[in-house]
Amino acid sequence: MPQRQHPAVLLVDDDAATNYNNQRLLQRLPGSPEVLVASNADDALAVLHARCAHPGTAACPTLILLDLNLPPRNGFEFLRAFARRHPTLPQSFVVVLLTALPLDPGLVEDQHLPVTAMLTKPLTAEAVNHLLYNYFDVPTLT
Amino acid sequence: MPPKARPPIATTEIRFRSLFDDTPELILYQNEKATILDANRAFLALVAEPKDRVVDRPYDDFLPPEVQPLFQEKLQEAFAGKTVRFDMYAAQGNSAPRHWDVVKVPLLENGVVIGVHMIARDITDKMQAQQEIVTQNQDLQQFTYIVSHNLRAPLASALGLADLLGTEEPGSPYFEETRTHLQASLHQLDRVLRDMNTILSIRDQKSVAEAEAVPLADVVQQVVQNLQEVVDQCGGTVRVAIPADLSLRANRAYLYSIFFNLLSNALQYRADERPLVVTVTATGGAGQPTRLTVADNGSGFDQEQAGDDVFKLYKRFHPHRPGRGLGLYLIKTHVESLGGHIAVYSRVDEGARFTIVVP
Repeated sequence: MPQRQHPAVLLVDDDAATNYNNQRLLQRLPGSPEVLVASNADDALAVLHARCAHPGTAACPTLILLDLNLPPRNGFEFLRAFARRHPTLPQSFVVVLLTALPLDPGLVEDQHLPVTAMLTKPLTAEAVNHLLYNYFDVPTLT
Repeated sequence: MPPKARPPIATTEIRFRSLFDDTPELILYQNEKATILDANRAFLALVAEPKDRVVDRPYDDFLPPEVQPLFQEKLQEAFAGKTVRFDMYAAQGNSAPRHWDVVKVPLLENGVVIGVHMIARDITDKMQAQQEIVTQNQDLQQFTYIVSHNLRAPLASALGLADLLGTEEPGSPYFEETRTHLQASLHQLDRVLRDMNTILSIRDQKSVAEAEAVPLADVVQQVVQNLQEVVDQCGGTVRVAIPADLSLRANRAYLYSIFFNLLSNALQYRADERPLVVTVTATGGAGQPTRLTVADNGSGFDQEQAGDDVFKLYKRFHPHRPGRGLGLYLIKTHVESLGGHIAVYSRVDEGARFTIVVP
């Protein structure tokens, strides 16, 4: 059975320590997927625009790990801006919302935004494997 | 032995007339058509009319249109033999609107209601106190929410990094970098806890006892002196216009902290394109509220985007400059501990003006 490729991943978080942790967890996976890091919503939008607006350049990061608390805007506002700029794109992304404390799922649903899953920090190796297995058919390491 | 003489007591009529006339609550007596047949002194004083201009008039003449249907409905219930009680917020006559606790009591004669007494008590102060408690509760709830998130964020980061550290080879560059980030997260956690200590000590009621008449010009001068080096370095100017004899009853350390934080902000968020000018003014005294302003010509912020968040804990509006979102929250807490209120007006690239009013 052919093994599915790891997606390129975009990390969006204003905390450098969190970005380091998540980047390291992802880079150590077999096949070390490409990890892009943005510390605010504007940088993240710029990355997505550069990578995803015109197919055939570099790999578009189809897995986005998004911190909800992202001053000056929050993760929801980032997603709204993304959906506005690329109305057809967000549906093909896996967006995982990361929060310091568990989030009320109803609160997320009310936003009507393309959020695929929610995770409470910290991101762990298990959680990463789980995400890749569930949404990208990448077999888990056992 | 002859029966002991009873002490002279007022006749029933006098007693009840006194109760009616002298009670501070508003008392009216109405017929079924809602015509006022009698009104006590408190009511006459409130509507500022003599008795002959009140009696025989419909009560609706003294009520705003929006509460008239409610009064009609309750009066009918009372005429059906029920004692009814309700709250309303309304003006009466030309008075200012107040919160009223209203009771309507039917007067029965041979089982038939022949009239209705109305007693209305002013509960405005109580309602305001209650509203204050509700607002304070909401503030506390929000405070707890913000604090728990801001404690959990660096803690989660530390937890993740501690796990990661266990999988890195000791002595490797990855190990060292992970350890450095872990330390940074723990320091951040420590800072949040220290912030809590600062905030809680301001809210502590003890500070009220330390209030003294503080000359405002003195405090501002002290702040300017302590920041003079930074002001000079950036080629800035601080203009102070405060009457020498103007003082405010307050905790001196809090006043110092308010001006120090506002001036520090003006310095930190100055515009690179022009020399900083900060103007500090104070007016008031002689029974007037004290009004303090600190205005700068700095980078300002987008007030529409910031909304109500400007003074909230850990909210930041200059993502590319250092700062933790604590200063304005502390200032607001200080101002509120003085019983005052703070507001801001700002436009991007024009500056910001903070106004503090202490009654």
